[in-house]
Amino acid sequence: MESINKGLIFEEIGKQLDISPTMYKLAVERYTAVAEYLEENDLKAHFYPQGSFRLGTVTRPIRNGIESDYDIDLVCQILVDKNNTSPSTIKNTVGNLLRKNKRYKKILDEEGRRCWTLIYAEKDGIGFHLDILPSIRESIEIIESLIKEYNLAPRYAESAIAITNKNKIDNLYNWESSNPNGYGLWFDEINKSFYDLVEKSTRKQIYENNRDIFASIDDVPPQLIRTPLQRVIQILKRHRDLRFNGHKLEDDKPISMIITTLVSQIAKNENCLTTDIFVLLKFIALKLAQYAILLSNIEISQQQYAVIKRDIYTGKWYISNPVNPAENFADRWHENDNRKAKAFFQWVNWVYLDLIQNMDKPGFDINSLKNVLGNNVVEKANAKYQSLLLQHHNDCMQSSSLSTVNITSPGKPWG
Amino acid sequence: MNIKEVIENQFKELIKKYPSFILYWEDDIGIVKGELNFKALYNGVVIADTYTIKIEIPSTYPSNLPMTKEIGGRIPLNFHRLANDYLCLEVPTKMKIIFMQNPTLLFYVEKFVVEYLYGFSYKEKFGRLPYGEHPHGNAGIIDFYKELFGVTDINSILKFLKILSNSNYRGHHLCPCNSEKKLRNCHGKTIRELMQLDIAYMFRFDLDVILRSKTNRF
Repeated sequence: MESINKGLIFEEIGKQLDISPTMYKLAVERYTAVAEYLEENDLKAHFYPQGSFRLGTVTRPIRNGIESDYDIDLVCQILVDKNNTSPSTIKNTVGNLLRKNKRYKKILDEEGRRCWTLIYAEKDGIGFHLDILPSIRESIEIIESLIKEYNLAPRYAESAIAITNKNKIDNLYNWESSNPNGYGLWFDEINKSFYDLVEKSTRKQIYENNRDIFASIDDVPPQLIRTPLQRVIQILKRHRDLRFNGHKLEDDKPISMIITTLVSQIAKNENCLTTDIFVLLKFIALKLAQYAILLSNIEISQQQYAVIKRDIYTGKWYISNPVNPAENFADRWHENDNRKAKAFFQWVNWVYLDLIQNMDKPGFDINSLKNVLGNNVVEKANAKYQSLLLQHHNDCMQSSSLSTVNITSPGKPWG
Repeated sequence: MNIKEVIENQFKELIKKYPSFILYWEDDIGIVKGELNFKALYNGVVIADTYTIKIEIPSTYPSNLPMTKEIGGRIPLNFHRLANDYLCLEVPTKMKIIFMQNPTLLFYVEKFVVEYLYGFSYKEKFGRLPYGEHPHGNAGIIDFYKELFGVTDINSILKFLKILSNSNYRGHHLCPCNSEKKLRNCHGKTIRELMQLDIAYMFRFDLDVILRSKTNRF
């Protein structure tokens, strides 16, 4: 029987969830244009992407069960001292400039809590939501306290920023702390060993499939090269989106930041290395499942390196932000009888059943992934996978194309 | 380069050919786990098969060899396995001698693990092992030394092992193989080569095992 290369199927599924090189280029053009416009209007600022676009874990969102526009997050870090400005000034400087421009005024969404959103409808039906996050460098006092009180490495702490928050009730603005660049750096450090493993072959593949966009192999930006770690995160995010769609726990589904942080933290703690996406997913899913015991047994001894912790006395859950130890991503997990924690472990169990157990059983059918990763995505990925099987019998696919081990002077089993 | 880096680099070489493995660490022990998807040829018979295995690489690697388990549940307990579930790929001293020619994970996997699993797949198909097997326990160790020195007399083996475990080579002494020749003109080269491997402790271990079984038997 032909064995199915599960890692390769996941690679193809990951590609379908991802932003295409053409769309990536377009997105960069769009936000560069916004940045240039703001700079031309005397806004002195640094612009850089954050979130999944920065981390390389972009996953086509599902809204109400339908594949929809990509979210792209852009930090607009204005070069002004925190003592000499206010959150409302920062937020509205950007908003006012956007409204001043005819084109941007038309596509500007209502003011968000932290961002200004431009909604681009592109011609082939897939658009972008460009979230622009007005911010400034965090104050020296806060940066120093992150280093001294929370033991945060200075290379992370230095890129902390202050972002604005508009209160829903009184419409007043206040500062909040964030650190997208520090987080990106933390993630890159973990991703690096995987990146080094796959960089060469992936770069070549991207170039060959997109010769119309890239002049040479070196032209392919590193931001488009996906590692098994990034693919695992993409697949998990998509699985979460579909599994919780219409479910009673939908409002409590794990946020992307939690998924990304836990997967990366496990990869970091275990120092694991592989090129096979399925193998990595399985490894990480089994590690996550081990924490489910915290639901029923708070008093279990928790190791220093546990990625999810629980307070023995209060029952509160902890998943700390690796670049801001004061921030707890799971600060609301205990509410409503641990509803968010239950949703998380329900999902981990789904991951195990839908993706690991299902795919490990003999006679696994690729179509069975449609319900949990998306019809379209699995359909297209499967077509690609089948054509890859036909086209090249390259050595990572099949035993039939494996180079043969020649057994000469064999040993003998003993014992 | 520390041992973790050595193992990581060797792992990278391994997954170029066998990509479905993951490397991680349990304390200081490197774990290589995953599906071994191989194709091997012996005496004109090609077998392609897949096994799920777990290889444990000690922190004393490569002085000490990795140990391997089959974790997919295909190999029954009564096939060549140690009590703690590790596969008995070969007599340890023999493995060590072969491994030192090319101490890498890829070589370990292809030379020992693939050969062993090929043997098991072959047996499943044809009902017998393709290249025989060592008897279990001491008899297997004696078997190996009979092959290594080309002798049948157990006393000759014991004498050779005494020389090797004490690194006590005397070329002008009579060769223990009863050839009546001087050692240097007979098994001298073999003995000197084995001494260069610096594994006197393994020969001593085997010597003790054989001696103990002898006294038990008589």
